[in-house]
Amino acid sequence: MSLDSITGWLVWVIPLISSLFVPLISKFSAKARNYFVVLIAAITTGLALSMVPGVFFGSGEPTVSSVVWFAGINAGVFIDPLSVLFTSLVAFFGLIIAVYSLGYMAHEEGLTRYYFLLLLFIGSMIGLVISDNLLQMFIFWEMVGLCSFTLISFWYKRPESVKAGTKVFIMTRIGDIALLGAIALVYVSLGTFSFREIIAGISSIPIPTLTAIAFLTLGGAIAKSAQLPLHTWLYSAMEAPTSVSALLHSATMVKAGIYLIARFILIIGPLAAALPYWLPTIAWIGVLTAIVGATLAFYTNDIKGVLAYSTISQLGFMMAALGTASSASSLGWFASLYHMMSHAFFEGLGFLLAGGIIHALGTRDMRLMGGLKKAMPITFILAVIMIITTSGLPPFAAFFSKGLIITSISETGNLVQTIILFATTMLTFAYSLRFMALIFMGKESDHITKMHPHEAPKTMLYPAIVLAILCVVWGVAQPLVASFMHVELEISLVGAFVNLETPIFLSLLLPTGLLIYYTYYKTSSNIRTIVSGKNPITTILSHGYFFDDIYNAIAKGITKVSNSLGHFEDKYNLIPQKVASGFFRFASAVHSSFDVATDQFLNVIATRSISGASEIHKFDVLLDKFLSAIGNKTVSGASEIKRKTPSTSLQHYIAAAVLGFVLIVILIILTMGV
Amino acid sequence: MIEIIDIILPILSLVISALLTIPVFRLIRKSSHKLALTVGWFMAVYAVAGTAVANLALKYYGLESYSVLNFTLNGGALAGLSSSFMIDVISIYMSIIVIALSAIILIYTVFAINSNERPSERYFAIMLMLTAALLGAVLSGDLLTLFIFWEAAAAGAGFLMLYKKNALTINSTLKYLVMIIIASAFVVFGLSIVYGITGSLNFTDVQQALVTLADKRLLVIAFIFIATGYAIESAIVPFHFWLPDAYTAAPSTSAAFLSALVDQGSYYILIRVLVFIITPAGLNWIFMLAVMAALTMIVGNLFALIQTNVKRLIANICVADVGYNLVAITSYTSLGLVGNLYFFLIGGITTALAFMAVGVMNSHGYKTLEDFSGIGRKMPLVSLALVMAGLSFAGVPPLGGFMAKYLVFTSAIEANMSWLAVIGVLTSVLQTAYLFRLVNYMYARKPKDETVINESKRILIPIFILAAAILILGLFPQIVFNLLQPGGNLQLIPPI
Repeated sequence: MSLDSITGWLVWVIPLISSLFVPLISKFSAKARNYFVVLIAAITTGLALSMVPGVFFGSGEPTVSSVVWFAGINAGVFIDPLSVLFTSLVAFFGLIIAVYSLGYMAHEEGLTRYYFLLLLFIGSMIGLVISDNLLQMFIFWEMVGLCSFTLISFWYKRPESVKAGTKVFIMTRIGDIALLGAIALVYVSLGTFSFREIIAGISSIPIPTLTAIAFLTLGGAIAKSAQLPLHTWLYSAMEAPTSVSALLHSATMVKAGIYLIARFILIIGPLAAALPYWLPTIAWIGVLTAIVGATLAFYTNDIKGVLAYSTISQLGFMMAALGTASSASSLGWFASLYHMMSHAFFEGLGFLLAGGIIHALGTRDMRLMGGLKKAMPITFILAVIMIITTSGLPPFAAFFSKGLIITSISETGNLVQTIILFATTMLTFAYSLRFMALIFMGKESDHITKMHPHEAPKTMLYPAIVLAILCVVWGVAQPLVASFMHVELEISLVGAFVNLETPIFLSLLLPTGLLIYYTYYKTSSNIRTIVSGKNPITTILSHGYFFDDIYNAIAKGITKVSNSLGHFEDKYNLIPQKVASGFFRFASAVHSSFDVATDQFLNVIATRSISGASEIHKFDVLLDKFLSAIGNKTVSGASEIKRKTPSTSLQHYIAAAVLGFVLIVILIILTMGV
Repeated sequence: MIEIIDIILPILSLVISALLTIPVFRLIRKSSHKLALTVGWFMAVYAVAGTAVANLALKYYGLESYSVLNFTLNGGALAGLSSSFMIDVISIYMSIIVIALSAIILIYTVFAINSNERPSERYFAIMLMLTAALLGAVLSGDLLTLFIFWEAAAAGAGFLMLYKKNALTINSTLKYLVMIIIASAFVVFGLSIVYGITGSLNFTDVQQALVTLADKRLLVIAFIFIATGYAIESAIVPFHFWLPDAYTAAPSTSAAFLSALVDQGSYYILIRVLVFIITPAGLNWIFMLAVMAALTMIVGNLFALIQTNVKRLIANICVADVGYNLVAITSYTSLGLVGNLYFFLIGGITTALAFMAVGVMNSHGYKTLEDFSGIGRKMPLVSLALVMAGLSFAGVPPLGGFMAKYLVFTSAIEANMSWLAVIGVLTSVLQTAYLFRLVNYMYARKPKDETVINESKRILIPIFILAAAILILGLFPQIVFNLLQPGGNLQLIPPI
């Protein structure tokens, strides 16, 4: 066993095992427990990063190490650029959040549970991305789902948290079942779970079966990565503590779907292009999710809601790029993973800042905010970096990663998708600026003057600063990342500035920026005065400028569309309920029809065979007498109780048994062919 | 070398302890440390019986080959009519889980019911007797011995339901007994035909004779009667109506015991009779059983969906579990059999755990789903155990239920019955839905009253032993597989 493969085992086993010690250590002191978690997260990060050089200077071929788990099924680790990229991201982000939690969660109860689940999540998530077989991957896939569910309902005393957690768990289970179906199909076709053996035997699976496997896998990825039409759970997941949202619902867990598709493309290799409709479906789902997510981010007034919808939109970008990747050497494959990393940095930063703001203001409603620039200057500067990166302005990380994605889409020649993605980047810029304007610009709102906000504590600021630095430098690291992933890039760093997309992109951003500037910044007092009920200044301002009216109208139009989309969302959420109640009705119909059927059956017997009927009847009467005799002796009114309880009567038992007997006879005759 | 005394010893020790329990309780009631002495007495009983089972198991695993061993009480000319015993890997495995589960549930019972009450010693004695009868059934070597021990267990189970005498329990017990009597009449009739055809009741002899049988018309009739009889006893749809009524009316201690032991015993008999005696080579029952399995999974889960009484809901899950077990039997593969035997254990533990937890809640007056609103905050530990049982039912990894369902469905796919696996997976989704409704009630709803409940610590011990067992067996299924396939890949299915 080489050193790298030992590290590959330790990097997920250590956090998993250590999580069990958290409750024990918390018995000694709460502080020791918190620092223990940070220490383990740091060790995990060290282990994860220590695998990077091996892959960087290696050949790009996977290293596998596995042991027998049970009955011919192995457990193992699969070390290649993809898994190490994800492992490093998860471990690093786990460390960031562990440090951040020291400040953010300081005054909460139930922290032992929180830290236990945090380590359990880090271990399971790394286990997911580093597994060398589908079964092990699926078990960890479920375990991260379980961690997500329990962490969303962390404040289990708040009913809405538990409700949100349950909703999320059930919705993502739809995807889990699809994935399980895919795994079962692979196992039936090849008789193995191991990636290596699947890669070796993949070409022997007939294309129709492989297509079914691919689409079921996509179903799993859609649910986990919050893609259309299963995206609504991610907003509900915002009931979780913000640190959890940053780690699970923006940086790592929701990327599991991206990982799954990227891994799947690696496994099936050149066959990806041969599957009918598969790649185009991925691309379209991604593109549509991107634009729908962006419009929803524009519509919500919830500070975490903007970040959640933004995450959905950015995941759409990644999906879209994967949809162009007919093999692992395509530009789209790399672009997606590269953007995955830069998104983790800027969206994670956004969540960390939002956590600080919520911490200071005690609300998530952006309409109550404004003018925070003065009270929280460092947060403001970091937010500016976050906004610039999110919008994809040069020279920060997302400029390069988003640029690659748009290039990969436009290279396929699909004009509609390219235009939609450009529109989405505009909207991204728009909602980012709106986010900025509502929170930081303008005068301080009444709520803020009442709350006296202060800058977040150091333990919360330092992690954010680290992420901000990464946002700035990550873009320049592109060639390094490409050679780490062993991908040949045709586009150089400088090339990104001079190709066709950049001028289009920047010239599109300008009008959007102006639009938002006028509607929100200039009239940001407008938003608040609408809330407080007075708006004399607004009327003057909005009629003072000629442009304002036009822009307002356009903005209103966009808001209207977003609003109606929002209403559609509400209706859409009802569908699962309707399905459930349908099932419920069906079940009670079956139940009562059983009763009716047995009753009818008894009637038929009673009327058809007179002599037989009297026999049965005699038996009944005898039994009833017997029953009430005993019943009366012990407790009065046996028959009364009998009527009240839902229990079935003996006649029904026997009638059903006779039906069953007939069923057995028929079935046996059918099989025997007598 | 295994002697016949090794086999009879565990059964005998339990029967003697059951008889001794009544005078011993008379002594215990005079002392001032009643609870400690009661627990001590039963621990001693189980220490003896457990040692006897362990002795048998160790001797068997010490053998060089794990073959089928037959023993008869009387040799000579009448050997064919004498009671006989047979041990193989499966009966050893069953006797281990019977003794272990019975011990845990009995300890729970001691904590749950007031052992100062007058008839409680009889209740305990019946539990010990039933355990002895079940051990006898899983170790028996011919159809008649099996029938005698099993009917003793099934009929004796009626008296467990009757502990709290009221109109409801009397009504449901009586209905149960009527059904059991009808069932045993069917079985006896079928067995008499089998004896007529083959001239023997010994498992191996009957199996051989049936495979080579030329005219199968009589066998078909015999099979239909035997199948109907055992279908009633193991509550296969549409013979299942007695089960929800009986388990709901019975005290939770009885429901836990019945679901974990008597139910599992009836599945064992289905396996023994269908897979080992009337093999598909003797008579092709696979399609018939597959249809019954599908029906049982669908109806069991649909009925569970509309229940508002939590205990009744769990009883309906017991019915659905029968369906999943049948899927495994239907596959007729070694994997399916291992999966089935693993499912027995996990299903037994899970239902017992659920009944125990619900029993604790019932004892505080919470019965319906509405009553369970917000119970997660009032009784956090018991609720946790119930949620674990629920998640295991729904098949959430890493709990045992996941591995059990996984093995069962895989075996169905291996046997080219993917449609059955698909129905199984779909009904599991339904199961998730109503179990999450339960969790939703327990945690997301506001409680109706603000009463503060002090959870009894003692009763949590057996509950959490079972909860831990679900988790450990789910993580390390190898423990069970090693018991079933001591020499690695052992061929469990008899060659056709």
